[in-house]
Amino acid sequence: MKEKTNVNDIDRSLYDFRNEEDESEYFDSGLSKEIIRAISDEKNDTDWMREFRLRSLEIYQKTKMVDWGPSIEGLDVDNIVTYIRQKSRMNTDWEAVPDDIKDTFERLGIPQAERESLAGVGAQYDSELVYHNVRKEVAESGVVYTDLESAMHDERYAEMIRQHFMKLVPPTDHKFAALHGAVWSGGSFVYVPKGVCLEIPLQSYFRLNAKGAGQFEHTLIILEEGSYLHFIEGCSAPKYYEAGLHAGCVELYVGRNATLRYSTIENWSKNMYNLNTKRALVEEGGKIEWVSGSFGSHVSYLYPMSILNGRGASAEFTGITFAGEGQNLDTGAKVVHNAPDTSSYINTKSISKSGGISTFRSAVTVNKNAEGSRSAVNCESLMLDRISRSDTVPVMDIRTNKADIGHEAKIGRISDEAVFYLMSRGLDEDSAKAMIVRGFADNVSKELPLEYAMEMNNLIGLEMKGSIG
Amino acid sequence: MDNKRLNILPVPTFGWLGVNDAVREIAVLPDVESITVECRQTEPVRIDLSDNKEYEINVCANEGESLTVIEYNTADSSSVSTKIKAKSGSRVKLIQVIAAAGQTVNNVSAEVLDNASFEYVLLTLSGADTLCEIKADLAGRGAGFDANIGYKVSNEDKLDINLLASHKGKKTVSNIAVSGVLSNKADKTFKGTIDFLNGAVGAVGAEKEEVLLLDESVINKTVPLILCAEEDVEGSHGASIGRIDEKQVFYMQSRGLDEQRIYELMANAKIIRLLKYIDDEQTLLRINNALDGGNNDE
Amino acid sequence: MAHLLEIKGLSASAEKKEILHGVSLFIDGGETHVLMGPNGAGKSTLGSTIMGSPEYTVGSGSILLDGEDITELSPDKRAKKGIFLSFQSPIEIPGITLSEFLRNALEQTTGKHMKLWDFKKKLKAAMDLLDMDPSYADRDLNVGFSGGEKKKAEILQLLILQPRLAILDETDSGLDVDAVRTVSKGIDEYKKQTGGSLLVITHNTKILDALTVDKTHILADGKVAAEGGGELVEEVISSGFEKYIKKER
Repeated sequence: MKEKTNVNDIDRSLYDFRNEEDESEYFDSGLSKEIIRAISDEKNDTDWMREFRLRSLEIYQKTKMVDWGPSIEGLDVDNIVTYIRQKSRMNTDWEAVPDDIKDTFERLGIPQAERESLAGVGAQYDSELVYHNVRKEVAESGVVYTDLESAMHDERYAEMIRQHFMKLVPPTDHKFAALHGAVWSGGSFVYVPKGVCLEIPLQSYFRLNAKGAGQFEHTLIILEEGSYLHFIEGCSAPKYYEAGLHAGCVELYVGRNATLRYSTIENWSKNMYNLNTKRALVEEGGKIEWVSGSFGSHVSYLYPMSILNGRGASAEFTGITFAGEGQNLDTGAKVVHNAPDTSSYINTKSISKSGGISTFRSAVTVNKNAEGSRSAVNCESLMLDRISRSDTVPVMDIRTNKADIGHEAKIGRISDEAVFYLMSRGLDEDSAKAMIVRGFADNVSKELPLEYAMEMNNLIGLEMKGSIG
Repeated sequence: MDNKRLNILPVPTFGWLGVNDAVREIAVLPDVESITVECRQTEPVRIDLSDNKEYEINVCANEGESLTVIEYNTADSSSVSTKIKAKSGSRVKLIQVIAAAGQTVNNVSAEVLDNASFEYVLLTLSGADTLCEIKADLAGRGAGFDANIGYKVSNEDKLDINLLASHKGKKTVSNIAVSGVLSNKADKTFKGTIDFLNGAVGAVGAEKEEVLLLDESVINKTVPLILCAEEDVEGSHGASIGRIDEKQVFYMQSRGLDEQRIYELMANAKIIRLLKYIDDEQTLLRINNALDGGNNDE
Repeated sequence: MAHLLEIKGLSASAEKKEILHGVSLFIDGGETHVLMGPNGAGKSTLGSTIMGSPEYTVGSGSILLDGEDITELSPDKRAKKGIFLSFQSPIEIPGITLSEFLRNALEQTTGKHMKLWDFKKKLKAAMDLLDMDPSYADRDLNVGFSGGEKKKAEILQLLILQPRLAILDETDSGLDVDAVRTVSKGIDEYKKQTGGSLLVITHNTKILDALTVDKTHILADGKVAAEGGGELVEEVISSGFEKYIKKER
């Protein structure tokens, strides 16, 4: 496959220049204009993109670190270049992937071929055929699904990308958005023309692996009026980086009466700082459906935001977060009701275990012009032991009287009665608890395509193994 | 004038929401008055806060005793700090009514020991800028905290409440019920946190806020936190904000009430709910007068 | 002279699904009508639509009261004109006591202020008739009431508000024998005091024992499938709705 070889070549060389710079020249972040220019040169950026990167760098250097959320002390932000350079050292050799991650793969039953894909070896495998089929069908309907960098150089899409790129998540949004603007690399571009409804989900699973562009990838999806797309973001296989920072960015434009479902099962390796920004702008009558499972990473900041900008626009967020040992996962959702008759529905579950910290964080804002809007937030947390932690931090900011806003949250543990009931029917304690936790997570699993739901259930099973002392 | 950060949210969140704190210019008040309530009281202790000054009120209930303190605040601007100690098996009830004009900085902190209970009632009726911080430290085994809060905010008034129930002891219980009505450019923030610390085995905490918004000039911020570092606990919170449920409106309409009357009734209900916790005729009378200038035929 | 209530070719839908497909019937002053039909036929929809529930959208047809078109009126205006609906499952309204609510409703429907003392006396008498514990007057409306208490509270409101037409939506369902008797007594009293009309939606005859049924309407699949006198009730009870459903297909 053409992209794969290309990307591997770029991977090896792209950021491998840092050691030529004199470190003492740079203060604050250690990231300099020269480095950014070098990235632009490597990528053959257009003039506006060159400027955009440099401007983002300035913003990055001026912007303060976030003063809320989990600690990112373990992240050497003063020497962010290290993380960029790490990319070139990403393991391309399956043998070099640490054993615990390999074990996970074995137990998950992820096929040999996909493991090879993780290692960046472009092998032929079954799923790829499926992918090609989709691509053919997709192309005929006028849908564009390609990598963002080549789309930017394609005159058919260049202007469209320029008009949308980081307009929804501007570099001024927060420090890591600015960083992303300066050093972004890789990612997907999807365009669905008016009225086109894709029956089969598009998956970025293989693409990301193949391109090895995980850390600062940018996803840009534009849905025209009346179209439908289910996009599955592929973090389902753990990626391994020696030191992990992931500051990706996802921008979704949902046109009038269009519906976009965006599903993610994220299982980054557990040394990763996942500071991902996802945002959707939804026009009149349009709908965004987020399905989000967070299992991996050391620290996560993840709050997909839906901006309901046209009358009757709606958002649904269904999420699960499972924080195990050494993990601090701060996840949730944000919704801005900015037009009449908009509605949002947030339903999340979180599980904390073995000292893991999970935080549900949300913001629902209903502006004055959003009369007739409705919002319902429902979050449930499960504590599996007494050394873990689970926090719920929702905010509602309501500025019209013609709205109905509801919020419900619960925290607790697995009921002894439920465990007893299952054990009385012959299940051992481990299985009984795992079954209950899977049931707890079914808000998300029933929203996923079957193979992903199974994988998620496997993940829960894995996390639950040996949890009973 | 001092610029101070008040009512700091125990766990900060997205800065742009403006709920992490309340930064205010705090008027410097000339006098300090200290009041101590200690011995066994059969009658409620009524404290009138009508002057522009700093009040320091110390309340201590000895083991097994029960006492009620009622603070009625009609000052223009005041700063009130009420410190409560509820020793083992005691019961302290604090009723605060705020019918102020200007800025009120109202702090309540309570230490609640084994099997003691702290009942708190807050009713805010007026005041250009009211800041309330309530901290209940449920330190003892079986300590209980009941908070009933009602507010009526209007006329460009600001109200910021920051409440924290810290569950430290085993089998501690907190129950927080908040209801209120906003109209005419009211700006209200309610931050309520239930914090289950490690060790609070068997603790239960519940929190609920119901807000009725009467027009579209208002700002309502609701921030209900649950922090949890213990497995064997039960926490819940609920909030409902906005207009009256469509089905309730239909039911009442079907009996002949028009929408305006329904809203009047429901708005009053949010305040009247509080009155049943105020078991003092004298205070009730004052509240009724403040509410509708004696226009009540009941 | 115009009928008290006339429904002409009424179709109504909920969440874009049409439930009533052109229902016509009329009720005259002082009459007692019974509305029967299988589950899902649209009986409650018809009752709620007559009252003006926002849950249902009228597609075509009209509802007339004394010959005046009330199809577009808000529920409170309909109530003021004398229509009453006893809800199948009355909603709970925290914060407002039964007594306070009912006094407000009475003042609004009659447009007259009533002295608190007089009102309390009237309320007490009606509650006695219905074997209701007087403490319910000061409890929040329907909050924590049992099924039977809720139904009694509906009939209590009927007695106090004295409408010209009362629609009773399965007021007898879920009640034990004694409670049905009490509720029937209340309905009987309403008839005696006001001579008002009734539209009784029911599945059984117990509630009708004390009443003389003038007309029976059978609703099936959102249409009037059959009409007759009081004898139709007995027939339906013994042989079921099957033949009406078949007729539809």
